[in-house]
Amino acid sequence: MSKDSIIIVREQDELIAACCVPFEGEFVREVGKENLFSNQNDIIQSTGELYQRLKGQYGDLINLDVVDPRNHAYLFPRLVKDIFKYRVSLWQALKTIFALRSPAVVCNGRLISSGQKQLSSKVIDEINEIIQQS
Amino acid sequence: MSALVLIAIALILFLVAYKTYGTYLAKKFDLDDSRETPAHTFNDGVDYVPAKAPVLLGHHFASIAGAAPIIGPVTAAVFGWVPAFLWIVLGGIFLGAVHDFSSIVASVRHKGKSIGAIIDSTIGDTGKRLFNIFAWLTLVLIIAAFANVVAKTFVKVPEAGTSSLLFIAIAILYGYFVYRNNFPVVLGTIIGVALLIFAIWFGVQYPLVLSFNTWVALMLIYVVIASVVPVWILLQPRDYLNSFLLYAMLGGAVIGLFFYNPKIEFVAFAGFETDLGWMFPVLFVTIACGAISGFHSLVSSGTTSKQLNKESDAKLIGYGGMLIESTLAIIALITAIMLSQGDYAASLADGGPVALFSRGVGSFLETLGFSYNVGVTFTSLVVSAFALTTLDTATRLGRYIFQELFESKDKATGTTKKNIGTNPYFATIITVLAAGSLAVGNWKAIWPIFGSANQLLAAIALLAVSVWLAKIGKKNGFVKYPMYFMFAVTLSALAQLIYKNILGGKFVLSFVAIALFILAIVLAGFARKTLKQVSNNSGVSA
Repeated sequence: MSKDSIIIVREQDELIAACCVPFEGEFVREVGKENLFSNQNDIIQSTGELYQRLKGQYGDLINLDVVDPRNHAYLFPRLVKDIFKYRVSLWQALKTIFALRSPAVVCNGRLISSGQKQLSSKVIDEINEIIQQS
Repeated sequence: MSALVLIAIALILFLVAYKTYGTYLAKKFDLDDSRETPAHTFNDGVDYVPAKAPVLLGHHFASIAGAAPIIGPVTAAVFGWVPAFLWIVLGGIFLGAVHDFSSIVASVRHKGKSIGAIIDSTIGDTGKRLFNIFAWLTLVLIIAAFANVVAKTFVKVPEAGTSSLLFIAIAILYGYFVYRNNFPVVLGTIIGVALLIFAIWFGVQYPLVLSFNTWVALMLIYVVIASVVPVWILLQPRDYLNSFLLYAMLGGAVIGLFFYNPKIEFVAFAGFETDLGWMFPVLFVTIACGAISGFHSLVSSGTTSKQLNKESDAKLIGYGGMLIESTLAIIALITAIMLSQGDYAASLADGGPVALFSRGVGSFLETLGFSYNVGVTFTSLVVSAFALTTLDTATRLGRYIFQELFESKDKATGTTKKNIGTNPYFATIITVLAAGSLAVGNWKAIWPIFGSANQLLAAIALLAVSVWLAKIGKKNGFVKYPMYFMFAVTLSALAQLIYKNILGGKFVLSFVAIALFILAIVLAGFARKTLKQVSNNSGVSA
């Protein structure tokens, strides 16, 4: 039986595609003593807590990934793959693809949370329900 | 000969190297998947999160790709396609990929610390201060080189100038809707891409014709503003659209290249001396990011090492990621060598390396049904967008480092004393003015000095890894000899550039090159001393 899949979509505190100048949160904080990506802090913390809870609850029984929405080469093929793999309904599939706001949580191809900066316990309940049904 | 043969040879060599030399290095590093990586040890779901190899590879590659691996190979093609091709392939396999791979492994074994912190612990406070001066000068060179190249592109492809200005406006709108008003990502992207297509169309219809100096001035004003406003207003949204453009351009260029099937018209070998200088060392600093780039060590030891799921993944992400970048450099080289020597020289003199690359990719995209003008404008827009991100970030980092150079501690209170040097606006203006004074010159004169600084950073990163390996009693020849080579390249390149610039009356560039040369000598001295100390302490030949 294949593992359940959970994708947490959130941006990291860095800029990418900036060769030849690195621009990552910790590095910038070290060099400039400035928290440039403070707008991301709440999101990163909140998704981090969700990640810890899911990891604690399911360990290696699930495929749990944190993906930056700018990582197009991985994210969208993975979403499409999950939609087909878990036979998600057309309506749910369209929601997953078109209603995804960062940060987001996708469980077995279904969009559970989208654009919520603070993730509620309802997200965990919904994930538990999907995993139990699968 | 068909250029497809060239790319096929490169791909086969990269694959063989990945399977053989990459595996050999993995054994040398003693990679062991039962050893926990920092992503697991410190797993907080925030900074330290284990990521699968394909997830991390996608992110890592997007972070190391940019305008530099395109500009370098196009410029260095002047030596002939064989030397440029050999340096990209062999440099990528034996130096660049080793550098990136070893930076990840060193950082992972140092609890995910950045290579800067590792350097700090190996070369001490004086070394760190010298490193800061070196970093500031490098950033000034980056701003000058990229501002110059982009301005030259906009003069030659004014359509891209209009599109790029619109792109900035689109990024601000995208940021407002997606970052402030939580608009769906895919819908935002679809609308963003539609607006980008409109920007390209508008650019083709209404090209903005301005002089080179006006574009340079506009860009410098722009970077001052962009480097002081919050990142969510412009940098973050543009970065999102940039990453989309990167994959779109790469995909289009690779598919189009196969349909276009260009022939190599350029000479195989153009001589040991060209207008850029002597092949050794200039070729090796002109093609920096496509063969080896010191900047990659900062990415490798930044986010990447904190998210490495298992040690063996470092091979795919570090070694493999660099070889993908070398493939991008080969594609850039092809856009130059599909021209005859005369056409290449005329094209380079006319619009610079980005315009030349854009014309090449424009021809590839034509085979996919796009009009040539649209293809050229699109490619110029993409490369310029990368370059503008580099300009913004370099200005901001340059300001930080300038401020740090003037910081001093009050011995009584322990607080940081403020002076004019620590004022952010003053630091920004000085950084931009220094870059501006260089940017109005010839990009061919600036680029090799920037390349030297980048390669010097690579030598320093290789030094840090060599010292670490020696300290733990491991043989380090596979990083030590590339380090010596990079120090030799950097020092001789800078010496040659000093001589050339003094003769040419370019005294500002000469001053920068002299400063970098002295710093390179001092850092090489630190390297020798540190390796000797390690050798004496551990009894191992360092």
